[in-house]
Amino acid sequence: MPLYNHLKEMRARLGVNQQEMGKLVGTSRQTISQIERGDYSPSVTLALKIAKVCGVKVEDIFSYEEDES
Amino acid sequence: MKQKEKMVIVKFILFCVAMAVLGFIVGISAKRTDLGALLSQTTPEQIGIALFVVYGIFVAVSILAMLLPLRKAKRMAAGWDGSNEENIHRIEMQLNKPMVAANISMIVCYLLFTCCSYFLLESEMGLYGLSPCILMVIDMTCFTVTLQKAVTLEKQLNPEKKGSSLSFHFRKEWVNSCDEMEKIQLWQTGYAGYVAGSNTCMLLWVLSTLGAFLFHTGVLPVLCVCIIWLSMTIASMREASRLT
Repeated sequence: MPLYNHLKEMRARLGVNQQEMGKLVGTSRQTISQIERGDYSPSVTLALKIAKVCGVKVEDIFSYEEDES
Repeated sequence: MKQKEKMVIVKFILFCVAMAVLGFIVGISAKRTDLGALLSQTTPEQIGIALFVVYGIFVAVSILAMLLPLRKAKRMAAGWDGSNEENIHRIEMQLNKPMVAANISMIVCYLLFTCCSYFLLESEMGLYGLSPCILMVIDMTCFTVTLQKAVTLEKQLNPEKKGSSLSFHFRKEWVNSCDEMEKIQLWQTGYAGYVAGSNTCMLLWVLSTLGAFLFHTGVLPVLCVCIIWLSMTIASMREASRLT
């Protein structure tokens, strides 16, 4: 999946665990875990919510890079 | 025509030829093996007792397969500090095991219950013919307890989850408490189930049709398979047209 993210770093900066992060953005711990592992690309709404909670722009957390292969 | 499309057609033709050969072999084998004569050598009582033993062993194994992984999951959950992400992943994986065991056990139990009761009631064993009911009650109790405890543990690990497994609206309440990713996962697993169900129906239709012609099993099996297949397809098509 060509979507990369810095959610783990952002979460560490906030000093919260996955469960607490999930609660802050109104989602489950599993979703946070899957996003961090790159197994799930969140919806625009969720990405915006995450960015808002982290106090940064969406592009600071998520980046899209075209797959060369 | 593109090379890829040609390959698909070639594969399909090869598949049809392979199935025709398989059908021919099954037909010839059925003709040579006199299954009816083979079955007539055993009495319903013998088959019923053998099935009862198998049923009993199955229930015992099922109970262990449900309760032991659940106990381990509970132990692992009790030792989780609430932050170790690797551990919670392992606990979730462990919690899946009793759920899988419980669901498989329930379906196989339905099958064994009917087969066992049928043969025992066909024989002259009187009220002993009702003994599979005891195994059924034991398995269903274990299934309900396992499901309830697994759901409670899941809710303990994920407090946002709602619903009680004993409620009639459990599925709806549970799905409503799932977030976007979990809902996508649910649709994906549902689709995988639909594909597997359709393939199984196709295979069962072939087998039940062969059975009707070669072993005189009647049209009821074909009817049952087609009703299941139709209900799956109609439900899927109805939802597809609602969503488009």
